[in-house]
Amino acid sequence: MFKRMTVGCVAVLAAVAAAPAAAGSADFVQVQSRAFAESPAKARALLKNLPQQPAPKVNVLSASIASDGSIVTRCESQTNPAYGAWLEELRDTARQER
Amino acid sequence: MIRRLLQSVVLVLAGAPLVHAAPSIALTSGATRSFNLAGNALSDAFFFDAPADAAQLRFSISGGTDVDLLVRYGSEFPGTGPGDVLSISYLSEGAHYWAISAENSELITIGRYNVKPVRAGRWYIVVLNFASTPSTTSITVTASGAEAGALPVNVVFDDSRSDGAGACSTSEWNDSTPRPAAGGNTGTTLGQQRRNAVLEAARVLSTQLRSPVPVRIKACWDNLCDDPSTPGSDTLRCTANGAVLASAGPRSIFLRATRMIRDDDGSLAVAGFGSAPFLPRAQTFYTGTPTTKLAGAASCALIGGPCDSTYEARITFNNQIGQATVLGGRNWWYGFVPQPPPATETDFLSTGLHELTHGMGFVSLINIADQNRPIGAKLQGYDDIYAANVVSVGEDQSVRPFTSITDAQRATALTSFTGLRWSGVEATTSVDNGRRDDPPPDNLVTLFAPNPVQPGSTLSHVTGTGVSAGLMLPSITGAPRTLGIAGAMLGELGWSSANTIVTTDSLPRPSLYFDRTRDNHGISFGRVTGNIYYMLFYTYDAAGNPEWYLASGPVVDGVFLASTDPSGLSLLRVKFRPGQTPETSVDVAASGQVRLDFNQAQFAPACNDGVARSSASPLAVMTWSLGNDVNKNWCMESILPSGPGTVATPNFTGAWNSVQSGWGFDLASFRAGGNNLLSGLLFYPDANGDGRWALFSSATPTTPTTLSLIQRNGYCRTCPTPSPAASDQSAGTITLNLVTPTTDRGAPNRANLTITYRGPSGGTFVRDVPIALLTEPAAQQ
Repeated sequence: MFKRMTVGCVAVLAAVAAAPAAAGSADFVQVQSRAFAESPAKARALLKNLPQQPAPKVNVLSASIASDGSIVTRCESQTNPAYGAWLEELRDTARQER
Repeated sequence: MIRRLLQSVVLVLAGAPLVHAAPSIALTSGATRSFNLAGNALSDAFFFDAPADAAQLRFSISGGTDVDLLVRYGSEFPGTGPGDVLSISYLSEGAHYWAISAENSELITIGRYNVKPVRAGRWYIVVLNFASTPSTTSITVTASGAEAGALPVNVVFDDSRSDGAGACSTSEWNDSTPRPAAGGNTGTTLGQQRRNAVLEAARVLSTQLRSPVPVRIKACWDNLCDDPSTPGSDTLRCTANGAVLASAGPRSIFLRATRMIRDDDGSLAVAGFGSAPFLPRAQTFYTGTPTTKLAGAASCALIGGPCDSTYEARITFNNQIGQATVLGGRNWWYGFVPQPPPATETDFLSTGLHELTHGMGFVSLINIADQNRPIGAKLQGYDDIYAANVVSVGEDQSVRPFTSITDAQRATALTSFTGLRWSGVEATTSVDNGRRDDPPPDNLVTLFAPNPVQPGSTLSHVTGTGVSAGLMLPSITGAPRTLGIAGAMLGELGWSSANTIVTTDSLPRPSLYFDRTRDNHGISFGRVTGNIYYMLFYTYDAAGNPEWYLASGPVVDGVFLASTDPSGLSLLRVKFRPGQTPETSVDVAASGQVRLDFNQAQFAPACNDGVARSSASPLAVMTWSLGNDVNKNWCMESILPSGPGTVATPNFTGAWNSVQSGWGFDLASFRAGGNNLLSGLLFYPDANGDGRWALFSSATPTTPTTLSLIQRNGYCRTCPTPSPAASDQSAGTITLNLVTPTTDRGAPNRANLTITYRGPSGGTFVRDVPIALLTEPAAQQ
C-alpha cells in the first residue's frame, strides 16, 4: 500500500515496489508500480464519466406501395429509448444536487 | 514534471522527494515484454520510439486482471513527475489514446490519419491495474507499414440480451424453413438467407470504408409495427400499403470537451476520461462508429464496458413483414442482386445497407423532429460533425456555415429545397459528384431539404441532383447496392484515411481574459517558467463582493491543466494567515476546479452563442466548478489589444509580487491612441485573510506613479448581469516604482500601497516592499 504524507500543501505518494518477478523468462522486466492517489472505488468511478452518451435518435426505414405496385422506402427517425433513459438519469442527478 | 513555482504570491507549494524515474524501458517493435504490476497501481516505465517509415502502430497489453492502457505522443504524461499527486484522473487528461475496457487485454491501433498520427518520435505508455490484486502483464508495440485495410464489420446475430434500445429477438436468424437459393444468396434455410443477406450488407460496407478497428453490429428482429411511443398502435405504423421495415443507428455519440462533475463523495472533480482527445474537431459530437477509427479502439475500450455486450451499431428488422395484413403481404427479398422484374418483394439488402450507413455516422443531430425544442437547434448546444460539413446557400448564392447560424436560420435552410449543401472537400471533389467542376457553390452536393421538414429524412440524405446518390436518397426505389456519394461524405464524418497534417500547438498568449457575457469577472493568465502557467480568477461572491482564486499548472495540448492540490482541487481559494507557518492555506471547502481550453474554442456553445467576439483574439473555453456551480463554461478572450503599435515599451504586463505571501498584482501595459496605458488588479487579503481585489489604472503612467485603488463590487458568477453591472468605491492608493520588467528580485522595482477593504470583514492592508515579476516578462512569452 502507499503511504500518504503531507508536506506543506503537497501530498507525497511513496512509490510501491513491484512484486517479485513471477517469471524468469527472457522477456520479463522489472518495473516500478506506482500507486495512484484515488481510492479504488473512486478510480473505478472515473469510468462512469466518459465522453460518450447514447445517440439521441434511431433511423427508421418505412416502405409503401406505389401506384405502379413497386415498393418505395422512406426514412424517418425516432428517439432512442436508451437516450431517453439517459436524460432521465441526468435529470435525477440534477435534482439530487439541488 | 509539474513543479509548483508560485514561490511567494500567496502560497508555497513545495516540491516532494523524487521517487520517480523517467520512463526507462524502451520497447522494440514486435517484442513482448512481461512484468508484474501491483494492484491499484500503474506503470509509466515503457516507451516506444517509432521509426519514420511506420504507417501503423499497434499497442497491446494482456494481464491476469483488468489492466488498461493509455498512450501519449511526444512528451511524458502530465502529472507523473516527482512531486505530483499521481492521479489517474489528471493523468488521463494527457492521454491521446486509451483502452479501458472491462477485459484483461486491450488494443490500440492508430495510423497516419489519427489526430495524433503515427510518426517518428517517442510514444509514452501507461498501464493501469484497477484490480486490487497484482497482475502479471505483457505488453507489445508493433510498428508496420500497413495502411488501414477494409473495415472489419462483425455482425452478431444471437445476442438477445436487453440493451436499453428495445426488444431484440434472434430466433428469426435460426428459422429452419427451407428456402431455395435466390439472387446469389445460397442459404438453404430462411434463417441462413437472412444472415447471409446481412453479412453481404456488411461486406459491401466493409469494402467502402477503411479502418483497422472492427465495428460490431448487433442484428435483431422485433415487431416494429408497435410504435414505441404509443404501444399497441400497430396500425399506425403498419398497414396494407405501408410498414416500417427496419431501424438502425449508432449506439453512442462522443464529444471532445472538458467536463466536470460532482463525485459520489460530493467533491468537485474533472471527469478524467470525460473528453475525447482523439476527435479532430473539438466541441463537436461524433457518432460512435467512426470514433472507433479515430480512437484506434473499440467502443468497449473507450467507454469501459465488457466487450461482448458493447456494440457500435444495432439494426433491427421488422418481423411482421410478410404478414398478410402488412404491406400487402409482401415478404422480404434476400437476394444479393435485386429481384428481377416485376420486383414484388421488399429488398432486404438495400434496407440493411441504408440503415447501416446511418449507423456508420451518416446522420445529423440537429433537431428536425422534436417539437419540444426549436427546429434547427443543436443537440445540447454542440455542433455535430455531420452538420459541421453542411452550409446554407442563400438565393443570392451566399454561403454560410450551417453550424454558425441561428436556430431560426437553420430552420429556414432546412426547408429551402436546394439551399442545404455538403461542403466537405472529399465529397465535393469525388467522382460521384457529377457537378464537381461547376463553380461554387453549385458544385456542392445538395442535401434533402423539403418544405415542410420531413423528420428522419431532411438533412441526413442527399437529393441525387447531379450525384451518384446510391443508397442515401430519402426515398429509395429499386434496390441500390452502393453508397455512391455517401461514401465520400462518410470520410468527412471520421472515416477518412487521409494523412493528418500535423501542426504545432502555439503557446497561449499571456493576458487578461474575460467573457463578454460576464463583464467584470475575468482571469489573469501568464507563464511562470517553462511550461508552468499561473492563472488568477477575479470574480465576485454571491453577495457581489470581490474575491479571487488561484491555479497553476502546465498547458498540455492546448489545454491549461491546472494541477491539483492534495485534496484533488485545482482552483484554490487561498486563506492568508499572517504570523503562521505557512502564511497561506487552501480553503478546501471554497475551492474547486478549472481548465482553460484553447483548442477550437470558437465551436464551443459558450463561444457560439450569438455574441459578437473579437476575431483578433484567440478564444478559450474556461470550464470551472465552485460550490454549487458545476461544469460552467465561459468563452474567454484577451482584454489586451493586439497587433502593431499596441505593445508598450517597456512592457510591464504580467503578475507581480513580493517575497511576502498573500498579495500581488497583475499589470497590463499597452499602447492605444499613441499613449502608453497601464491598468492593474491588486490582490490582497481582508481582515479575515480572505482574498479581495481592487483596480487601478493610468492613462499617463510615470515612474514612480501613484494611482487610486478602486474596489469594484459586482454580481455573482452565475447571476444575470445587472444594470449597472458594478459599483466602484475608493479603497486606497498604490505607488508603483517600475524600472524594468524582470523576475530579478534584486532589481529596483518597488510598490507602496495602502488599501482598506470596503466590506463586512473590513481590514487595512499596507505594504512598502521590493517587487518583481512572478511570470516571465511579456517580451519573452
